[in-house]
Amino acid sequence: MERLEFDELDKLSEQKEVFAPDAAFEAPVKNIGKGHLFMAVEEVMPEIGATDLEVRGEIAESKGKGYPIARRDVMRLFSASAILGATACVKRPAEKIVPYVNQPVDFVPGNPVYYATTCNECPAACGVVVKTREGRPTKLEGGPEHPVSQGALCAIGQASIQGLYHPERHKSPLIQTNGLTKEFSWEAAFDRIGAIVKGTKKVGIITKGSTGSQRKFYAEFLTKIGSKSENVFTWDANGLYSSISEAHRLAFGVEGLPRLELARASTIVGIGSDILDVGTSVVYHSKGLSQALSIKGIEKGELVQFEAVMSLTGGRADKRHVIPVGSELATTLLLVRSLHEQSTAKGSKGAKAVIASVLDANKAALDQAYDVVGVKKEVFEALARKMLEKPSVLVAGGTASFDENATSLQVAGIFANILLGAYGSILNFDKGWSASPVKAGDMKRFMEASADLDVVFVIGTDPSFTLPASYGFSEALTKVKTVVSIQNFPAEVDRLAEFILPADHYLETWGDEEPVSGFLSIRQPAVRTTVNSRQPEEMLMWIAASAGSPMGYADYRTYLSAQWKSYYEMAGAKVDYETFVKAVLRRGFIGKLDTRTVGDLKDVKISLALPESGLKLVSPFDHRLRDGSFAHIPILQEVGDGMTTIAWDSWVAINPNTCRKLGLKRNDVIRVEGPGGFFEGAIFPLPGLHPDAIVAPRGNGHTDKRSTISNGVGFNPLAAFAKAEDKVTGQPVTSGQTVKVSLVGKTYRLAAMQKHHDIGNRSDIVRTTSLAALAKESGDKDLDTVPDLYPDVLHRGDYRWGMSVDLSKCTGCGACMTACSLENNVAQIGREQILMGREMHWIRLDRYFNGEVDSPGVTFQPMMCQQCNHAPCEAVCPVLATTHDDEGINAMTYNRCVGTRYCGNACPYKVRRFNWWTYKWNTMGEKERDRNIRALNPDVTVRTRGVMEKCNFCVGRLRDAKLSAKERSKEFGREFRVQDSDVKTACQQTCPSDAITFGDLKNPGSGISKLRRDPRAYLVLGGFPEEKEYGLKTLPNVSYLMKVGADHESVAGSEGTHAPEHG
Amino acid sequence: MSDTVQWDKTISDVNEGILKGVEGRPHPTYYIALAFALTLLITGVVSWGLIATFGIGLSGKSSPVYWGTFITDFVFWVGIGHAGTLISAILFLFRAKWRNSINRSAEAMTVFAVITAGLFPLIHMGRVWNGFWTLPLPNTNNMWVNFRSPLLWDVFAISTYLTVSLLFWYMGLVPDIASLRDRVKGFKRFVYGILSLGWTGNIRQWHHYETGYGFLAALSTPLVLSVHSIVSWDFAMALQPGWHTTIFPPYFVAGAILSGCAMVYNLVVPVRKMFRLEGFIKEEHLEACLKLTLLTSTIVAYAYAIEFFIAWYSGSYYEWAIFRGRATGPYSFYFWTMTFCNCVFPLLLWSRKIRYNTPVAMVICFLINIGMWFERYNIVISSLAEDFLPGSWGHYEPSIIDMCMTFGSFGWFFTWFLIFTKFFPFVSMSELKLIMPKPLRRKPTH
Amino acid sequence: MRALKILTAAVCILVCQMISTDAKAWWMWSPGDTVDNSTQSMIGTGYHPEQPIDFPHNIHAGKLKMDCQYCHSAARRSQSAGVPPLNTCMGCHKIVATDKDTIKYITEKYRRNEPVEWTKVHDLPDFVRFSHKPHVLAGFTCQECHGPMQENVTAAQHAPLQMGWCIGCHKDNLDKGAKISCNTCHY
Repeated sequence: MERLEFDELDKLSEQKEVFAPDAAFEAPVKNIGKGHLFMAVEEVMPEIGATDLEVRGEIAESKGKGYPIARRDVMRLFSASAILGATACVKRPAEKIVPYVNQPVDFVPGNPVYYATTCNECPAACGVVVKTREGRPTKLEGGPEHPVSQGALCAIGQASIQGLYHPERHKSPLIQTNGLTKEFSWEAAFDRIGAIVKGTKKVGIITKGSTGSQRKFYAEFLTKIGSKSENVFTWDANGLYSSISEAHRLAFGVEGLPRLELARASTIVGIGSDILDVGTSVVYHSKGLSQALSIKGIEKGELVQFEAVMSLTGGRADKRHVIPVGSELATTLLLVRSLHEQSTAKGSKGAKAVIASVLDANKAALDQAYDVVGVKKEVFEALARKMLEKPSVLVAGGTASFDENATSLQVAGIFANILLGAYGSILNFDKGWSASPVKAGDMKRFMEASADLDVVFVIGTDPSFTLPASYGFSEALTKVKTVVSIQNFPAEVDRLAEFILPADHYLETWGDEEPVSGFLSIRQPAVRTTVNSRQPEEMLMWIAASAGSPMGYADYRTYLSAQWKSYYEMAGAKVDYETFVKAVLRRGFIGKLDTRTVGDLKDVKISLALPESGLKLVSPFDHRLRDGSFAHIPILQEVGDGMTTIAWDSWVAINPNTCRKLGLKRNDVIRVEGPGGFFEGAIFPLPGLHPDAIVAPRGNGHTDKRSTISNGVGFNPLAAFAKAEDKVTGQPVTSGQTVKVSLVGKTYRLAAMQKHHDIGNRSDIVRTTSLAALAKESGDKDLDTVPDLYPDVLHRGDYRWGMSVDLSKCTGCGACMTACSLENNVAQIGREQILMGREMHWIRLDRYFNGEVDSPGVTFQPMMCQQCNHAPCEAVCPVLATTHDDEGINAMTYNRCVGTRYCGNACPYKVRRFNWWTYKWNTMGEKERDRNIRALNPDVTVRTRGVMEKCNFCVGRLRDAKLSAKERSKEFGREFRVQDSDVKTACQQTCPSDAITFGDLKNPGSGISKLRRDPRAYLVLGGFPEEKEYGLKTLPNVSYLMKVGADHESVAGSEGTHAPEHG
Repeated sequence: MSDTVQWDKTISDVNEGILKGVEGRPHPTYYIALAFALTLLITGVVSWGLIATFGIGLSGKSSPVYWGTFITDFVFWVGIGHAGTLISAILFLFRAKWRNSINRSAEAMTVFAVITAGLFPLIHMGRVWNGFWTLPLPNTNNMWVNFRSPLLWDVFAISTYLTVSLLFWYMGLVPDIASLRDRVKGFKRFVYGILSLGWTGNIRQWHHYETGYGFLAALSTPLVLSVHSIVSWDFAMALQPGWHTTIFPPYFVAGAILSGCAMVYNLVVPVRKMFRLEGFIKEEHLEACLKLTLLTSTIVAYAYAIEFFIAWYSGSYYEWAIFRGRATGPYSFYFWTMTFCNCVFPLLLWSRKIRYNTPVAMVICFLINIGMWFERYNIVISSLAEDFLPGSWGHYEPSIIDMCMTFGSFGWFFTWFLIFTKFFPFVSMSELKLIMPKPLRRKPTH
Repeated sequence: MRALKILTAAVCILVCQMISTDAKAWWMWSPGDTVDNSTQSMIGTGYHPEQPIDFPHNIHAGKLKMDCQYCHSAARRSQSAGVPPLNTCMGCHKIVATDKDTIKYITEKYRRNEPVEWTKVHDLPDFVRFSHKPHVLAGFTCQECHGPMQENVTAAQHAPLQMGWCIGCHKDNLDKGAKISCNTCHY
């Protein structure tokens, strides 16, 4: 039986045409194939199906207070009390050992268990592998086999573990009646809501965007209780989903988002695009883009970006044109025009006719558009020619998807892509498209319907924060008699709710997503509920039941498994359904791509209105906090914005020249007055913005005491916006409204982690080359032979670990910083400590501008301990707290450190971090320095006050890998070595752009060895070996790959953008 | 020089005149000074208490500026400690007579300064309760210290220096304590009796004394050069631009002697007033000390210049950037203060009139001490704040605690020094007698 | 004024620490220092705490010659040796020696789904990352560190567990792949 099951599973995994991206899958980090996930599922997850009746009884009858968790809580408590005892500096209490009563058969205490599930932080639905220790999730990693995440995960996905353990989640159901908030039992809450629902049939549900069965279930719930099933209103502040989907409905008559395979494109044009910041599926697109732009022989793809703001995507672009706010549509149409004029333009006659008609309709506007946009006709023509030569695609969106022309912009984009012939190859709309997680115009529908709604459930979304106050959502909601807010974390909307029901975090719930039609990605609980919360869908079931019209499912899981039947037939597995489901749960996904036939371009109209000049307010998503739903997660606040390196703050970014013109200086507080209201914020002069753009990111500025983390941090720029709607869909939009700025007369220091913004004419830190120069390069580089007086470096160990960072791949998204902090228990320290320059990140992102202020080049340089072979820090430590091990790692022994901090001075890379205080775990308590014990990695020492710390190549992971290799060697009687696929550092594992490579330098075949011999390889501060100039001769084991500019532009910059903190 | 001293007292007045201060009540200003010193001391103790309890984070340091005022103070006090041994040992060997009137105070200053300096590495440690790990002690962990680390060399250098200068100072004290013992009664007599180690002043004792004294002088002479060279290696051995230079040892020694002599002057003049010692410490002696100051200040000025020249000449971008930054960057204030105080103002001492004008000379010496503190500050901070990678640059401003520690260290130093002046002869009587006129000879008249 | 408050706070904290800490050494008055929270320097060899029941190792491992890893089965597979769950005990003691009080005790516990809380004996400081796995793989017997458990009733600390002791053994077994670099145990 077991055996058969495995075969079945292998068959399933062979069906790789689940939109397999062109790149071969990376071998799994933690090979899901082996290990616990292949044990019978009950044994791995006693929570779901169970081994023996007794336990099952237990589970069924007690959710939340079931004993397996209770036991683990006990364990946790004891370890916790141990640590607390020590921190309170009383003698450590004798530690207790609390074993299981019934230990799952294949559970080994001290060894992690991995669950495959699906991230729910955004509708992209990345596959996640959750590492749990004694039933407690400790780290999230991208599912290595999962086609969406391909092993990677964005900062937000990584950080959701802190959301799970956040101490400020609601602890029990709350009922608010005229200002008083009282705790209630679940039963009481259900009874009361049920009674109300029974009374009225006018029930509505506002929910976050999702592609899974969720929406279907809500509709079913509504019909069950006798309400209108279309009363499900989806809302996602990211306008991209609705605008793209709606544009395609207009253009082709069928809804959905085309699946974007950037890897196949050679020239990519972004019109204000933010695929690397937020986009629709940031990890998938980062992977694709990094493949598209990577160097293939003597060729490399190119990203051309037109934008008004300075997005990470723009920073990554090879060529960047700055255009006015709101002129994205015009720009796209100009490009469409140039494409259309080309004889080689693809696309059917009909389509071309439609496009021609649109172009003619807007001829007058287009003719003067060149001046408005500020880009010459020749540029567009040259670009058009280039794009038609090779497979190319146009990606539009970003802040432009928040303005009134969002949908028209996407239509124009469709035009361009039709002319480029991108559909079918790069844009998949007929095979494996994605359904839109939100329906366009839903919010408008709600505003209209709200008048005759008596009960509204707000589930997992918070429009009262993510919509501008001027839109009047909150007013509309207050008119509704009963509002039930179902959130996994306190939200602004709670204020308006009568019932507040704590929902499970996604790591505690069942669910599914369909990121690509026909492809199912499964969500399963990795832990028992950590607070007294429940699954939203099951709440609805209870409510329906107590309203006297039960839905007829035991729980949401049974509902789901009913939904998944179709995949069972599709897979044609020969095992029974239960076994099939278990098998699928182990992989976390299953499916075959749906196909459909899409007609030709329909007749669509676009009316182009050119933007008038004047200061325009733009509020893009902060790439860490998105629309603000993650503002309560400390690590995301701490990682800092990529471009500005500002943490724990919001800022108003303005072009330095404009600042000079308006007489504004850095950190001046200005009052930004828009049609809808005003807000005040400090200025950050950011190069590369359009002179008329006032850029204030969203995400912060939570008003009520939502969380000690987000409370009082930053401001909400939406306050300035007047109510505006998409011309086509009526979706509320927030961008490009004209504003006035005035000095308030205060100054406010923004906590920017980087004080200095250009490379200061230093030439051997960030090195660049060009394709032409590379073509000439030949032969392998040898970075390790440097003439000096030291004895040769001997690596007596079996391994020599090395890392390589590709500067032309890094996008500055900050996923590596997040992953590193979570893996290594790096403390988050809060704003005032960062202002003092005490940030603790083991890997930091140095961001350098170069070129002129108006359109600078941007380089991100991930900087972690370089593991020097001639380490300056090792020589100077008086107590041998930092030493070199025989595998090339510069070991830091915290408990030996006495804190002279001499090593920190001696380090030329300044990557050592000192614990100025006993920073407690994540900043999650009274003070910003209080930590949350449960969110710690039990395999890494927690540093306390007075000791130095730094990157150690995740030596814990290395040790585990070496031990399992040893184990295998013993098992099979022959020597096994750790291979590239066996171990990855946290940063490398999660990097969505594959910028980081790590491995064994003693193995000549390993990826890292190849990259260290690569002609692009160089050592930071290693001088110019080709000119017999060897710099500091620290001989790092971390090598970098030169940034490849499109042309010969050098990144070593002028003092032009020099904007130091100190003046 | 001291041959031309205009003595108005003879050796017979020595004991009387000098020990009066010890037995009688000193000038009231003494008590004011002592009170002031104690207040400073308390501030220092309090701030150290806070650091030990709450964490080194109370000081304004950050990454990349891991070292701040504590190391500045350390180097400063070691420097102060220098002149003492120079004056007492080297000048003794050169038979410079003028030293005899001020060597006692100089040696006392040395001892207390070195004690003060020795505190700072501990204060500065992140985990001071583990500070003893820096000593090569056998332990159950099979752990040893890192003899490659300049900080460890410091441990040895400072302790050696302290031991030797302590011996030197005490040995010089023995005959004076003996004569003190013979004058006082009761408990005091008992204590001084013990301290004087049974000194009777017979010829054999004098013979051994002279030999031993000469020997110790010879022994401590190399230390004068070694200690501050080793301290300078704390910086010179690190890779930091602005630190990694070979000129540091001589440059630090010169600087140290400069600040030391200035400090001697600043100490002797007021104490001379408090204890009415004008008759024994003559202007000529102080003037000689000022000449030494002038000499070293010119050496220091030369060192600054050379440092800059080499930074430019070396062609190393990072080196030159640091020095440009020092002169023009965020820390230029400290740099220019340092330059003026150490190189420009001392030039006034070329004029004999000013050398004999005690108040002005006092001010100049005071400025020199400030300048020398700023020099160390400048070296420590500006090299760290903006070194190699612009992405890692930071900024440092001393926190209140930092400043309290600095003032506290002055309090600590002065408390010891003033207590010493109260209970021990401030001028080495035995040596003074060697250079003072005999009572039989008629006072020179002209 | 505020400084004064802070000072008083500081003094109070220090005093409390001196009282509350069983500070065998003054440097244990280090506030919030988990890196220093080792009790090993205080409690050494021979530490023999009370356990909920006196589990007779001498009978199981000694008289009955049961393999240690029958119960501590995680030792060869993970970092912790693992104290056996109750169902392991009940495997035999459903039938065997059910009349004994101790067996009655665990049976009751098992029925009530309550875990037994043992007191940790071999307690390394939190900054030491010891793993049983490599030592078992290298073929060391449990007795080498834990002493002749087959002769004792409940566990007592046999080895000093001082770093010197670890290093000594590691140095002797370099050929077996033992390492003496710091980050073998400290990271």
